[in-house]
Amino acid sequence: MSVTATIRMYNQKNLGDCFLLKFQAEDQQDTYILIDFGSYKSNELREHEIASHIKTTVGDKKLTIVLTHQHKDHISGFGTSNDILKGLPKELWLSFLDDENSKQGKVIREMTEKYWKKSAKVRQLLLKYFNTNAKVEQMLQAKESLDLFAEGQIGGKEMSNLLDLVDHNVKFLTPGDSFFLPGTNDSVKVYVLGPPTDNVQLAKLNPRKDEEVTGLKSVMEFAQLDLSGTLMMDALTAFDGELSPKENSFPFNKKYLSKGSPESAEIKALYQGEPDRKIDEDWLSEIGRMSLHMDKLTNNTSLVLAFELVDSRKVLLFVGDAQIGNWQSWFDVKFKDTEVDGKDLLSRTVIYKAGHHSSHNATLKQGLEMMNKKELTILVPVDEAVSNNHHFAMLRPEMVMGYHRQSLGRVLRSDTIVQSGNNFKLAYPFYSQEDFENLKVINDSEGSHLCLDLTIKG
Amino acid sequence: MSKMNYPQPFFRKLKGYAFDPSFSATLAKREVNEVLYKIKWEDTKPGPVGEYIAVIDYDPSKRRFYEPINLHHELVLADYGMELSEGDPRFHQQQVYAVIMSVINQFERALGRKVIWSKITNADPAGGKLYKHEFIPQLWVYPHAMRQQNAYYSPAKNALMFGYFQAAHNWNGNNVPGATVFTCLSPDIIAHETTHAILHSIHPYLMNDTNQDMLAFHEAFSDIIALLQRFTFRSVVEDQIRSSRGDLVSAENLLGDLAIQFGQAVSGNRRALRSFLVEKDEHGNWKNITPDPSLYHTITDPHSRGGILVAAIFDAFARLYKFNVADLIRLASNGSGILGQGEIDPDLVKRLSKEACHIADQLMMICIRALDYCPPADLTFGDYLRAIITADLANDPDDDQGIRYAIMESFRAWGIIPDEVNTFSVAALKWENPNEFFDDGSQLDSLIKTIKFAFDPEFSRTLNFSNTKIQEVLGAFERILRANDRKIIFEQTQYLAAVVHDLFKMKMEILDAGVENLLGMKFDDIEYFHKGEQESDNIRLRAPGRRVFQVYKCRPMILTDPHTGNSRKVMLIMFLQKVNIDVSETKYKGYFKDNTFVFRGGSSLIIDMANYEIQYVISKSICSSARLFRQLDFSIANVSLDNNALLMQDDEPFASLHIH
Repeated sequence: MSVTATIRMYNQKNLGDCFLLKFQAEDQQDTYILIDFGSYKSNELREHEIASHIKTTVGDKKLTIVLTHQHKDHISGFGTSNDILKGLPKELWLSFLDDENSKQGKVIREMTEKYWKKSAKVRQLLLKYFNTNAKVEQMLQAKESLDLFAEGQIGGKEMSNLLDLVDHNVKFLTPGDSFFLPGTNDSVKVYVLGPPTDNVQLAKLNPRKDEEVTGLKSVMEFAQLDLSGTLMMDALTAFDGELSPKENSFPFNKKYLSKGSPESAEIKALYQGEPDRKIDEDWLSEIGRMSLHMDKLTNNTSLVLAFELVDSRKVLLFVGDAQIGNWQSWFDVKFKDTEVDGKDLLSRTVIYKAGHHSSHNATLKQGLEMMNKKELTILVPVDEAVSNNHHFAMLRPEMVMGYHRQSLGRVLRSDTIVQSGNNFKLAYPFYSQEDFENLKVINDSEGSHLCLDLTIKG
Repeated sequence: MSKMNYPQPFFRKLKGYAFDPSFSATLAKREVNEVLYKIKWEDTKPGPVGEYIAVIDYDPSKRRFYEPINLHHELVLADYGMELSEGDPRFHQQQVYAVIMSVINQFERALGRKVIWSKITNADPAGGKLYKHEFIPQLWVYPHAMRQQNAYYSPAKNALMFGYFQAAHNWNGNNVPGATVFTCLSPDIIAHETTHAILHSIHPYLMNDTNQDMLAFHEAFSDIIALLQRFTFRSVVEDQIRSSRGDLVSAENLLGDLAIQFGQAVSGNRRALRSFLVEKDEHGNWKNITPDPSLYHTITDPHSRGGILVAAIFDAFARLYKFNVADLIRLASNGSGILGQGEIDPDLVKRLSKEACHIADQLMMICIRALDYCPPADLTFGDYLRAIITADLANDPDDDQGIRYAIMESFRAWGIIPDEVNTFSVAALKWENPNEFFDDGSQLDSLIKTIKFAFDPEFSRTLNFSNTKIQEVLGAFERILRANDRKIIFEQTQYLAAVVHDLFKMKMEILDAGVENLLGMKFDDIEYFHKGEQESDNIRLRAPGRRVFQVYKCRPMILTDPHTGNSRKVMLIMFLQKVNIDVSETKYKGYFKDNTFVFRGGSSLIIDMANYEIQYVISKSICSSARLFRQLDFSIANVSLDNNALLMQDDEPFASLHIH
């Protein structure tokens, strides 16, 4: 049964993911899947524009919404443009971690919730006590760059809006699940690859060639970070003068605090005498580390889906912001009643949605190298300006070069449509817009591109 | 009370922990964990604040100071300092002071000169480039600097920062869940961080991450000193030997005590050390790991890679120990070499410990001395092996204990083999004498003349034009050797370096063009070429001529031969030049600021001052294409992955290294 897939990448004019997939099977109504809809920075007008465009496109047909993970750059659109999207029959796909009954999901949710409460409090205290301190301001800025991804992660209106939108018609997906996409007459099959089902892999965030201890360590590390976060908060809370009973005896009995003895006055004078060597703010650097860790943890919970066009065996791979630990788990996923496995799906991939806006740690090298199909095209939802402003490690030369090598230059970007080869020494160029035979660029009212449509015949 | 009546004591003895108390609060370890640190006597102010370090117990999380300890208070002096106490910050101050000072003492003993802290600052108020080398009297030590599971050396602050934290709320090893752990009480951690600081004071350019051994070396060297430092306490070693029945280096013992505590103490990421010393066999029992020479070529992460160097040194220790105590074991076992059941004889314990401590001490001295024989930049483990061999050969030509052989054997077993040597022998491994490898005799001649011109008053007199600064040079030289005040030593060394720089510059630029090549530098344009697999992969790069170089160390020293009692006066001069290479036309484009790669080369020159002969020129040539392209490939493969700006520790290179 032949089927045509159209993959649409929206240009948010912002950092974020928004993909609309259309499957046209013979003698069937079109089937639509919306994978994520969000922007890193607030972007209401553009999101309205995109939502209206989605609505016009889908018409009265059924829309399945996939939310890979609860980061702002994947979800914010459902907060701003809910009203526009209302009224269609819909279904929502989430990862099993979002299921209230999932044990792991619960652990992660609790950890996250605790973290955000603490984070908000620490921020408030820092602003109170280090208001005019440039160093701390810098720390907070860097922290916020990361935290912004997760704005509203807990109890956010986006999530409840989304649930309302689909009338609580939710399907939780677990790696190993596979099923024919309804309405396609068995011409499209969905395989669920991630997030990993065991904590160990979920927590493995950083690729290393010879890493001895893997995931468990990361969970431990997080627990430890969490503890030092608490210690930091306790200390800041006690800044207000009166020491809490705990701070009174931590880490030492308060009688050891100097009360202005001549000896300690001398030490104090020494310390005050060399401002460059003072350490008043260094201990606060923990906040950045905690944010970084939290961010990675959430990215790694991304729902990862492979859509197989059954007849032609072509695969469209959507990985959310999956990080290395997530990728590695795909090789162990077993699907029922089929020989298909993670490696096989990767090797047949013709569309790869670049993980985490092309960050260094969101595409596993071995995984990328398995994508051997000549027609492989890589879609990169990214915004170079935002990434540069916030010093995110996106569009790193080594990663872009890897995409170039693997796809033979077929790289599409949401912000610039094609990838420029100016900064690289290349044996063959990146594809230009004209080089893509199956690409259609749709413009917005102002004449810049609203979205890119890529058609795959299968 | 007048001091006049009493002679000044040689030593100050202070009570302290031998291991991290939070990991060794067991009945069996209770007694051995208290040891006496014996350090050189000095006057101290409350803090303690001494000549080398100032312990500043400021807790920024409380915005308060803790009361400083006064080591001269009669109640403190009376009984080797304060009693061990986790709950009294003043004891913490005593502990860091004792461990840091004993590490400093070890370095001074090995190097025959004083440890001097310094810092390079930009002295141009307008923000231009006017770098000044500044004397820093004291390293600052913050025993309670943060509430994190971390401790690090901060080059920017010239300070050691120790954190405290709460142990996780689950049982793990010997720690108590939720208990407070102080990194400043762990001698391993203190020694490790102190070593970072001292190493940085000697070799500031080893922090540049130009090849995969550099960061690994900093870590490994600090671990080696911390590990060997454990063997300075006879009572601790005796206990280990008693409980292991003499087999100090068996897997059980390593695992049971040394490596585990070491690993636990220095936080999760130091597990690397243990994993290079012991492994599990097919039955799940621990056994000593078999050295694997291939690891050196496959492992890249700094901690694991550093583990290889630590393992190689420890392996040398194990070989020497086994070899040296074989006779004692035979004597104690009626010639069978197998000891009977039960505890071993206390006398034997004493003798075995003495051997172990002696070997550890010698190894530590050798490892430290080798620092003076390292190239000034781009160090590899192979270079370090050559430095060890050369340094030890200079210090102890006989080697009747076979230490050099043990080191060579273990380095070879671990695959650490310098690229450029043909045979693995002492003769081949020691750095070559310049006569052996410079073809151009006239240039070498010219270099020797330059040296004589700079330092030899007799030579100066034979020339038409004399070195007008010769008296000042000799004066500085003599003051450095004579002075006790580190500030004077520093200033005179700086002065000497400046004069030597100018003299060499003048000679090399005007009189003998090209002589700088012998010192690993080049003033004219430099062409680099990389031959690719195909013609089209060939890369050509060019560095525009640059006549700027620095003499960043110029240090006379007196070395004493322990066997003959002869002393030699040598001069160590380090030259370093940097060039800027435009890589915008190559595949390296897009990785470096302004597409300019900064490449350094230079040499350590060791001169025998008795006859002004060049003993060694240990150089990393700035003209080496192979080295440049190796460095470029390494740099682009290791573009720092996690964004340091996000960790907010841009200027704290060791902070993040220790966390990851």
